[in-house]
Amino acid sequence: MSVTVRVPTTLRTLTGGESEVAVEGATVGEVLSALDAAHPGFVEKLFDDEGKLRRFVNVFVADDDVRFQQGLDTPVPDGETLSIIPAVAGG
Amino acid sequence: MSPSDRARWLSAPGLACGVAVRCNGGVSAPSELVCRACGTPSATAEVQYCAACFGPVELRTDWAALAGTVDRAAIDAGRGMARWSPLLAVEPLGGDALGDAPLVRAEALGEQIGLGSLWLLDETRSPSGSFKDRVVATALGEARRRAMTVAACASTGNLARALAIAARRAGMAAVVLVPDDLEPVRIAGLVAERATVIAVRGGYDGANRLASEAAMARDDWAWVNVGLRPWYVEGARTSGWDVARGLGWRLPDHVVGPLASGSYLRLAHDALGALAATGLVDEHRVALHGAQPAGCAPVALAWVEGATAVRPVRPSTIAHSVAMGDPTDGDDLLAIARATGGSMVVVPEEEILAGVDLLAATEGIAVEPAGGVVVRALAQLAKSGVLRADEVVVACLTGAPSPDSGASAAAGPTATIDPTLEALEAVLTE
Repeated sequence: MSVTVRVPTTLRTLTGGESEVAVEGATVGEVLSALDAAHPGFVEKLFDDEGKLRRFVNVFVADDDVRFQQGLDTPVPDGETLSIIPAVAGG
Repeated sequence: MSPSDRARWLSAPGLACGVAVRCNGGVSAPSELVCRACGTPSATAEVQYCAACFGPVELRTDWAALAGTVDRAAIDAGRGMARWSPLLAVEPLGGDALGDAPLVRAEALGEQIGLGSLWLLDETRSPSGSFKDRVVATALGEARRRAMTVAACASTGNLARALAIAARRAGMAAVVLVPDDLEPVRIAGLVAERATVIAVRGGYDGANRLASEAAMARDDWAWVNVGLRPWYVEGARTSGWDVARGLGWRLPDHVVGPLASGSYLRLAHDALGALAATGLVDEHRVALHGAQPAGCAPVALAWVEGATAVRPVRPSTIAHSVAMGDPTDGDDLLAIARATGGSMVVVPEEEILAGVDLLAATEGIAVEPAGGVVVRALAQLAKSGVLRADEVVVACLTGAPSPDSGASAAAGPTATIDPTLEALEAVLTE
C-alpha cells in the first residue's frame, strides 16, 4: 500500500528537500503517522494539541478535501496521492 | 527572523527608513511579517503561511508609532489609493490611478429600509469594476520590488480581471485560474486583456487549491492571492480608510460587507481602528457585519450556531464572486463581529436579485449579485433593529455586474483542466 505524499515548501526541511515522498498507509491518519515515522516532525507541525489537524492545514486525497469525507479515517487507495496544502489563499 | 533575512528585508525599498525619518518623501510604513494565528514572526518573506502552525502571515504595522508622521492635509492632497502610501507597508503599483471609490449618501435606499444615515462605498467605479484593483496594486507593488515578471491568481472573475489589466499595464504576463463555469463573457474579457486563462473544473475551491500547489511549484511567479497574500490583503485597508475620509475623517457606527475569504471585510474594518491609532480620526467602536448568500454561508451559519470555528461548505449560489466554501478569515470574522457588537447575516438566494434591483431603482448603482446580498442584509438588520435609524451605517458594494451578455464571447479559455498540478504544468509548457 504505497502512497505518494506531496509536501508543502516549509516542511521539505523534514524530507531532505523532497517535494514528494512515498509511505505506506490505508487511511489519512495512517499515512501521516507513517510519514512522521519516516521523517520525524510532521505530526508536530500538522496537528494541534488535541490531536486534530491544524485549522490552516488542508489535506486532500487525490482531488478531495478530507474534511468533506471522514477526516483522518478517510481511506487512501493504493497508489493514490495525498497532498498537504496550506489553507492560506483565496479571494 | 534570522539576521541575514532581516538585513535583506530591511534593505527592501520603502522599508529602509525608520518611523521618524521618512525617506523619498515617505513611501511606505515600516512593518514586519507575523503569523496572525500564533504570533510567530516569519523567518522569510517568501512564504505566506507560518512555519510553526500554517496560519496566515501578515504585515504588522505599529500604527501608534506613525502618529504625528502623517496628517490629513497631506493625504487629502494625494491621488488615488497612493494617498495612503505613508500608512501602507508597500507602495501600490499604479496606485495614483486606483482607489478613491466614492462614498455616496444613500438617502433613497435608506428611506426604503429605514436607515437615516446610510452610506455606500461604491467599489464598482474602480477601473476593473471591483475592489480587487486595490489588492492587486499592493501585491504587484511587492512583485515589482522582487522583479517578478509573471502575475498569477485563482479567481472567481473579479480578481482575474483586475490582475489581467494591471499586469498588462505593468508589462507583466498574466496567468489566471478560474472556475470552468465562469460566464463566457467574463472569460472573453480576460482573453482580451491578453491573460492566459486556465479554466479549472471543481469550482473556485478547486482553482484555489490548484493555485496553492502551483504557487509552491512556481514561487518565482507573483501569485497575488497566495504567495504574495500578505501584501495583497494590505490593499484592502485602503477601502476602510476611504470610508473614514469620505465621512469627513470620522468612523461610522457600522460597516456591512459581503464576505468570501473574508479578507476584504476584515482588513477594511481593521483599517478603521488603525486609523484611530495613528490619531487621524477619533477612536470609535465600529460594529462589523458580514453578509453571505444562503448557498455559501459557512461563516454566517457558524454565527447562527454560536460556533467559534467555521466548517467548510460546498458552495451553490448565484453570487459567484463570494462562492468560497472554505473562508480563510472566517474564524477571525466571527470573533471580530462578536467583539464589536456586529453580526453575520444569511440572505436567501431568492432575495439576492431583488436586492440588486432595489439598489438600481433607488440609487442607480448596478452591482453583481454579491451587492444584492449586502442590500438584503442591510434591510434585514434594519428591520430587526440591529442597525438603528439614527446610526451611521456604511455598506461596501464590492463589484459591478458582468458586462452585458450581448457582447461577443467568442474567445474561450486557453485550456480547461482538472485541478491537478500535472494538468496545469502540461498546459503551461505546451
